[in-house]
Amino acid sequence: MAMQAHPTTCKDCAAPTSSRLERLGVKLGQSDFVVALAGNPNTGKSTVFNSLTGLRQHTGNWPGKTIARAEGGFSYNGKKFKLVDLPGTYSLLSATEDEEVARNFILFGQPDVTVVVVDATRLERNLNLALQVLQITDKAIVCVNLIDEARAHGVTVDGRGLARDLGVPVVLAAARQGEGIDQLLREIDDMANGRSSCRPHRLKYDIPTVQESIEELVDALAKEFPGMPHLEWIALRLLEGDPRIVQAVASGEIGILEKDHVATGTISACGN
Amino acid sequence: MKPEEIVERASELRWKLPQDYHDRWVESIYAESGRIASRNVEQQGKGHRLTWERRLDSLLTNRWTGMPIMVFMLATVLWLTIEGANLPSGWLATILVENGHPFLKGLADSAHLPWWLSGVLIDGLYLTMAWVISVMLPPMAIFFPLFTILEDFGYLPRVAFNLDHLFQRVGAHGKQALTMSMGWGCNAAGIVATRVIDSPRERLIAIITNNFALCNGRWPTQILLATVFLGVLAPPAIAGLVSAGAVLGVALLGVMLTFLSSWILSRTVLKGETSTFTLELPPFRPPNLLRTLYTSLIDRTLIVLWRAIVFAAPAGVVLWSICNIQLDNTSLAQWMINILNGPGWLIGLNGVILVAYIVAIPANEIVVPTVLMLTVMTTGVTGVGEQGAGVMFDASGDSALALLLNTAGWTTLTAVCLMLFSLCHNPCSTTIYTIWKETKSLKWTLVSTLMPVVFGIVICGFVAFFWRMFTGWS
Amino acid sequence: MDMNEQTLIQHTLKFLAECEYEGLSASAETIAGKLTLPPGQVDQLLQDLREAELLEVDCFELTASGREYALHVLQAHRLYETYLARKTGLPESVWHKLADEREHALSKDDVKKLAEELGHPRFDPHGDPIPTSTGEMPVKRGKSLVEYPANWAGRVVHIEDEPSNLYSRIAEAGITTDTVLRIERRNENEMHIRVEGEAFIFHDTVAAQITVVELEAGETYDDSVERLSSLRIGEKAEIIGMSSLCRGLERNRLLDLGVVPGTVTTAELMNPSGSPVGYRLRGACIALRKQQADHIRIRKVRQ
Repeated sequence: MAMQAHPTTCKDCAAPTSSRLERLGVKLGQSDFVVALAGNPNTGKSTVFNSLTGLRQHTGNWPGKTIARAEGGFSYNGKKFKLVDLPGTYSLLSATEDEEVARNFILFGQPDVTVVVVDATRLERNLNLALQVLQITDKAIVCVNLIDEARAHGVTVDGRGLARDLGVPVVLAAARQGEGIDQLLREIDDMANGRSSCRPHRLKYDIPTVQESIEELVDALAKEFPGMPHLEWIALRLLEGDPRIVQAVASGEIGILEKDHVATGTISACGN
Repeated sequence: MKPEEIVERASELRWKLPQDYHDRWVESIYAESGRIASRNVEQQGKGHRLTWERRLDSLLTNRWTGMPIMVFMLATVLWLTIEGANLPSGWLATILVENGHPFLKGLADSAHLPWWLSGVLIDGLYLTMAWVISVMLPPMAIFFPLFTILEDFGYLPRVAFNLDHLFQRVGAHGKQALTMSMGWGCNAAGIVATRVIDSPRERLIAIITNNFALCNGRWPTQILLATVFLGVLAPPAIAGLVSAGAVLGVALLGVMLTFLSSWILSRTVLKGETSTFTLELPPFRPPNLLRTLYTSLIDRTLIVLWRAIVFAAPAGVVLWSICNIQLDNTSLAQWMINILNGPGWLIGLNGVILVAYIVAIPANEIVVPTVLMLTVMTTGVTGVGEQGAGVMFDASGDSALALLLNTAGWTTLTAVCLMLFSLCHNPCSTTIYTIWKETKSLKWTLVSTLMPVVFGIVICGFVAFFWRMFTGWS
Repeated sequence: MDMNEQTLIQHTLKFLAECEYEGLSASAETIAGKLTLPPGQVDQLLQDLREAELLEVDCFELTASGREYALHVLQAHRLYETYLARKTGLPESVWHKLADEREHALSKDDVKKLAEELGHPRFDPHGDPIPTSTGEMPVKRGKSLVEYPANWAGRVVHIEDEPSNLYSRIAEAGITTDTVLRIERRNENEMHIRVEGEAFIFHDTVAAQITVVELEAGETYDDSVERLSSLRIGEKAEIIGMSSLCRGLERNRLLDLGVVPGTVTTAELMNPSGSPVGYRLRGACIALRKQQADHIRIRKVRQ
């Protein structure tokens, strides 16, 4: 996806994003920015959600708790933010309902910021999802939650090193104690307003013939549908033979789709 | 390249990819996660799990301690719910039914409302709602927070782990143990809870069989019948034990039927659905009591209660109406009772009970009051519930109740069959609606609705037949 | 032509195409044996085929149009088996029968759609090649396992799925295409086979269903490869891979949970009945059932 230059006035940017999001079932209301919250199950994602919004939303200890998305809002520096809690998933690669909801939202809802909540005590597992999110969005912040629990286990996390390796801002937090939430708010605000730039760490498809195949398809797609984001992702889905994407490309609908983003039909499942 | 050509090119390229490239892609992401994590995480001391967590885990899943702890926990939750709900239920009934109803009646009289309007609105709609709230709210407000605390602490996944091998044998998922227990609180909530089962086939099984978990709307029916009809058969000293045993027996029969129907479903209609098994045993985390209380009230109790009220209110109107609309000098309810007396007899019940079940589809809570009201109407007994046709009431004492029902021709067989039928009949309309919302499938909604009724009719029919064979055709 | 006769014709064509692919010669007798038909009816069938110009007049070779038709049926059959394997929870034992019933009803368009939906797979779950819509198939390779002596090790490339009672013995042992096995001992009529640390005894009729090839140069049978299910509580192992018997949604879920080569895992908790077992995988404790753990190949790590 090409990084779009951030407009200086928000009226310009709110228009396309808002129409997109409203069709994803998000009522934008008066908010200036939309923030998505992604993460593995059992990472305290909902606690972060609650700390940011003050809303008492249920903390899921199980995968799949949040199939119906939770939404909340907060204000910071005079701007209104809408926060959307995506279902907790281990990955974005499978065809389960939860994962599709999360994936489509990040891809086609184009939130202003995506916060990936990871569990400090199980960083290795959680970074798997974070890296997958970074493949499909430029505007992400990694929130390393449960840092208090990690300390109790004798685990220290190097936030700076992590930020350098991931190429996006990293905030260490203990949402239950309110630790790190201020910094997270600041980072969200900076990124939404285009004050921070990041170059997320992207993995190459380091498998023989895959990277070449993707590049070839991306070139062809770019010529046919100029300006369309997520070409790599579409190319990968074509290669995997995702019938919906194959059909959308063959009929040329993908171009409209990008604007209309009702890419996969399951987006309607995003509604309440 | 034209769009179709791009697609064609993609299929050509696909043939050149290694067969396991998806596996390798996931592998490379994990490998990178591992590299990044090892660079930025430092572990002091040994092991990433605290000793007490490991000890607790083996205690909770151990062969000797796992099961007893589980039974103890479940029994405690159910006991706290049933005992703890008595008092607030009584208060609510006093306020809403005993005082609220006459008060509203008085208001209606002074406002000179026509009798039928105050009948429909106050005797029908209001009273049914008041009934549902006072019976349903307190147990749910106790049961769900307790359940949520166990869930947030991380105990429930261990229960699923302990019981999985039993459920696996019938083609189901260990987590069904939890949705089933949740069903003992409320089937609608149990069905929503099946979301934690991420395998399509096992989730459908859990949804369809959830109705065999006796919900809190049906516990009172069971307890009442067991006390009035079965307890009295035993010497007074052990009457309580006998009736408690009978109720427990029915609940266990429900568990057995859950297993039986899961087994049947997984081998017949659901054979072809995809099935996977994943169960994460999350670390133990101290639950936040206040927030648990708040969220389980909002998330589970109030939402379910609201739906129940929405469905129960029209039922109240219907009930009052069929009792008060006359055809040839006989009320509509009486007509229905007369028609259903025959089929009812076959399965050990009677017309009154069947009519009550039809009208009370919206909420199991109102079955017993409806049965009592219809019985008084048809037998013309005086001294209890003389508030008029279509007005529900609760019996003032067990002996008065026994007298009333005996007059109406009830026998031990009727009570036994009603206990069984209360376990096996269609889910309440709130639950049916929830099934529809969760599955988005007419087929599975119908299967979930009809399967238990078929079970109920067959079981009650058999019991009635053999009972009469051995005790004479009375 | 009634439905029954059309079915017979399709089965005959499919059989002839298979013979052609395997390099076997067909005759009226083999056809009668395969379709369990009396010889008289087979003669009538062959006459019909020749009249329809699907079969050469003087021999048992398919004509061009006959071959096209046969490959279509073969493609439909094998794609449908792949579909059943990947997208449904139906047991392996019924795949072949269901595909036999379904192959006749699938039109060219249906087959095309099915192939698209499955991402144009090249092999069915038994390792049989699926013809493309233009009728191409990779060359057949390998020999029957019974042709090899004791102490020989090789790789499975194909498992014959008929008759199903023999096939299910192989499937239950968790042997699939790509499995590396070694013949430990050969007795009269039976062989002892070692696969991933487990031992199985197969009668020759069972072993004859398995087609194998030599290991690649430099590759040997690795004795240290075992199955995750053999890991005892407290033991540590490195994951090497997953059997191809674990497919579809199930495979993807396990991959997502971190069951990928290189992951180090420890068995932590065992249900008293032996299944499921909680394994520590990349920091989380994940419970897997025995059948799942059977599909995961590991190498134990000495502590």
